Amino acid sequence: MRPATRAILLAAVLHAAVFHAAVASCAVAEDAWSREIPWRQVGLTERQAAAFLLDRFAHGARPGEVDAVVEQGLGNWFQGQLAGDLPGSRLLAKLTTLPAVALEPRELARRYSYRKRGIVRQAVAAGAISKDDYAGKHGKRRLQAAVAALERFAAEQEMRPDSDLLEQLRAQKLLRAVYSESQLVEMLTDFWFNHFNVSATSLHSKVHLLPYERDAIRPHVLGTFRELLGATARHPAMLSYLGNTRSVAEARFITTFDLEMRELDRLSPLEDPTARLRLAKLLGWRRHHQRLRAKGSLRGVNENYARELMELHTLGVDGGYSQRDVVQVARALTGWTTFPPGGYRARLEKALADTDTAADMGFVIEGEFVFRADHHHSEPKTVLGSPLPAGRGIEDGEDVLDLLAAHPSTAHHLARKLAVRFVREDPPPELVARLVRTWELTGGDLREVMSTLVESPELWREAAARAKVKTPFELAASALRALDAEISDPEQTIQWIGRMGQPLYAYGAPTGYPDRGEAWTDVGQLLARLNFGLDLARSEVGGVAFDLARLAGREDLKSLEQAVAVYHPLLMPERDAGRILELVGDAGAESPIEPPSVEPPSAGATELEAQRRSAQHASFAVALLLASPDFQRR
Amino acid sequence: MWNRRIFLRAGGLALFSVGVGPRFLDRLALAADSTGRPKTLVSIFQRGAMDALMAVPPLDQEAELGKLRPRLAMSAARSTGGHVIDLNQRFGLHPAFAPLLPLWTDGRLAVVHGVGSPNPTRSHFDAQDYMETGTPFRKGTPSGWLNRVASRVAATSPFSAVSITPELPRSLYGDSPALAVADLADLELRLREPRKLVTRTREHLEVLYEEGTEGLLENRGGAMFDALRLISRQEIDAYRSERGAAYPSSKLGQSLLQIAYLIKAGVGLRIACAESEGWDTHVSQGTLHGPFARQASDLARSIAAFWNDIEAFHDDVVVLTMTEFGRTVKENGSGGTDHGHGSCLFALGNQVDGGQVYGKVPVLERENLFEGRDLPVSTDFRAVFSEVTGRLFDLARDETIFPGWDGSRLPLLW
Repeated sequence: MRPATRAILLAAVLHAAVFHAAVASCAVAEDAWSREIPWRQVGLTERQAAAFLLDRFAHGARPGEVDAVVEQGLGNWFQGQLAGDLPGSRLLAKLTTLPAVALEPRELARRYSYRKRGIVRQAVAAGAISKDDYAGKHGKRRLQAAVAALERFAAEQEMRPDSDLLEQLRAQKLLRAVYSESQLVEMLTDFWFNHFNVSATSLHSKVHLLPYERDAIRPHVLGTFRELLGATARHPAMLSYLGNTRSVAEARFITTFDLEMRELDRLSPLEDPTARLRLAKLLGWRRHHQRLRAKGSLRGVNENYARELMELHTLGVDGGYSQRDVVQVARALTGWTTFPPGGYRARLEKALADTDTAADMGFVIEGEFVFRADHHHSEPKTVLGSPLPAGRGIEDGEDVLDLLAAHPSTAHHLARKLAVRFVREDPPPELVARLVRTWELTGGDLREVMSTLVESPELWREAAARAKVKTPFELAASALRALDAEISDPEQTIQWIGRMGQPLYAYGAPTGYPDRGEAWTDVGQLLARLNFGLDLARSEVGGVAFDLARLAGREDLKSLEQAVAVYHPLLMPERDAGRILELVGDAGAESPIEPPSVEPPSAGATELEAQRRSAQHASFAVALLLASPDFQRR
Repeated sequence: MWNRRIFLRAGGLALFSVGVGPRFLDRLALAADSTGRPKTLVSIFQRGAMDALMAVPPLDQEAELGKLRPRLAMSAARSTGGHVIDLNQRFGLHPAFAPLLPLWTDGRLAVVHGVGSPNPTRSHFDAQDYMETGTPFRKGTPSGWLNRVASRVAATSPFSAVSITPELPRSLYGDSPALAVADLADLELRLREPRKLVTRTREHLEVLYEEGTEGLLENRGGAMFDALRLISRQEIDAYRSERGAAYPSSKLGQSLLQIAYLIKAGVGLRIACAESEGWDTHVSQGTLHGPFARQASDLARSIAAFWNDIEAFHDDVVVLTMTEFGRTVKENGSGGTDHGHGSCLFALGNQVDGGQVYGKVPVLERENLFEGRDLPVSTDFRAVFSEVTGRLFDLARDETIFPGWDGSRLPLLW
């Protein structure tokens, strides 16, 4: 690749990105939410509308939050959410307890090594232990000493097993959902992570998950779809999860690197006397690479990512592509990879150390992403009818992403998916069409699409039925928010979320969790939901504390009915409590809760007894409400 | 969907009964809902990839195996102190599988050798995915093959597809309701003292979930309360195996114990999943002892205890094991084996035409091996899965269960 061509291409890409960004920011700034949120039209009160807004675009209301949103104005609240950057000091304080959250990918990989092997390798490399001692070749005593030295080394280097990283990843998700002021960003991060799902069940992706969400998903959820798509496509998490790291042009095809080398071979030493020198390392790499290809260690094109990219990430299953397109896209994406693990990483880094030369030969390195020209299929390709010329490198993949992001099937697929997430499981076609129009007019500006969504009467008509079933994560987060809970250790809540059917970051299929109430409510899952509510209300979910008496304004709760009447507006603000109060009231009228004590008690004892009973009513009322079908909906 | 009204009527009565077999009326209603005695498939996934050549070695290639894997070599020859069990002069069985021998002798246990996926991947994750989705070249298949089977079997109970694992296995992902639970004893409503408030809260919840049967939550909630009436913690805790069946205390043993309980409880179990983890024997695999032998012993003892325990149901139950791929024919530098290709599986049941080894093991020479190193796949796993579920549940066509597969079933069941 000639540098000039590359520069032009880069400029074109940059220009497009800047242009989109400019359009997006203008649109939001100009409007300043003169736009109307049509809650009045469907007969809601402003408070009901605020509560619904918090149920759909946040993880439910915290105590007093409905009032705050009304005071601020619903439009202003939503606009603030669209701006995105409002983490809040409470969240930031909580996140400081999770060191992994702020670490760079490389440091994360170093500290949270892929199981034990990685730690041993590093310890050997650092000279902390001898490989032979550790392998037991010099007897038991030296083995024991090596094991002890390894532990010391791991502690000094702050190295931990990768399960610890997953724990922190899960913890930050819950903390953000409960405490972040940027609630919409968290809702959308959940949505888009699930859309571009990568799973901790894949051991090779595990160590990449935290930076994947933090760097590839969260910063882009209110940007353009193309940016988001591009960020996931270059991320090691996705590339390793769907096997693109192992996708290599078959040995019978010429790679982009081969082409560059041929061109170089034609140059006589006089024309460029330093070329050979500069290329020495790459030439060494080429020899190594050719040996690998001859040995058959590099097996050829892997179609997985290409297929899911079209079927799941962009066009949708009936989006109008063929198996031929899958193969062509897979070829276009050969070479999109990350650094290989272990010792090979150093070898590749050494080979590419002269970055200018590497770039001349078509290699691209950006953080942990590597485009390997020596893996890239250089023949011409045709994707969805568009030709991709021969002899190119990373541009093939970038062009494919452009094509897919701009495709009408993508707009439709994602408009519908967002409508399913935020409105209802079978969204009205007019709503989807309106979202598609915005998508196409703004070039997939996700902020604009979300604005159109919140302005749609179809959304507001859902306020009465609240038919969307909360995911287990939303259920837990909304309960903790409503109770104004202080989370000192998220672990047990996270375990409950798993038991309710949503082990976080561990859905095994690239489809992500299905967005249907049915998927969350089989007998075992539903029972776990009820039990989570029941345990939480008894304060038996460890690491979580709240004060029911304070939430009730220290009111003396003389009956279950009274307690339900107090807690219902906290847990489900502005929603109808009629049926549950009637139920509790009827039963209460039939039988008193506790028989009066036989002995006339002293005044102090009576007060204690009253407090005990009040606390019991509080806990059972909260249990009943958390476990009720209404609380399962948002 | 099943007829819940029957349960609601029976439920009040059932609440009064105590001891073994209390939920009689509910279960009777469930039995009446189905035609004939329900069949049950018990699927055991051996995660990590079992070494088929150590599990069921070809006896006529003992010498060859001795050269390829000297540290893992075992012999059936009694004269030289060999320990491998001779199954039929052609194949042997690792001695740790001895508890399964009576089932083989009875003709109820079959082995399928050289079974696996047409996809050559050696990644556990990919291969398990492909096997569990039932689509060896498509990762994005949203549902699992067992879920698709469940949707074809007229499932009438909240317990029709159950996995005794903390999380739903990929094979049960999908639209048909499936229940995953690490321990059946967790299936209780966790309400505690005082009794009066417990009773009231439970009643209120039941009413709230049973009102308005149209809604999803109410519908599922109704099924949930029915399920709670069908089994009880006391009953599960009190459950003892029959005929002195001694289950190992391992995860697998305890899962199979709970599956036996569900079968006997008559709650309409059709598909049950359990898992056996730890077959990834890269290091010091061992022979008579060691990681492989431990795994094999646990699997064999669990299955043997289960089979012994459910004697009255032998005509209605088939146990099928599976593993994502096999291991290298040669041993590696650490006295273990690395990821390979073909493996073997076991099928057990009165309906199984057992006492035979199906499939092929070629002469273990380089040119016969997959990529020059692994046991080749001579039987597509779908040929076995399709046969077992097809025969057991009387399912004629496979397109919905194994989309894109047009192979033929391996005749394995009567």
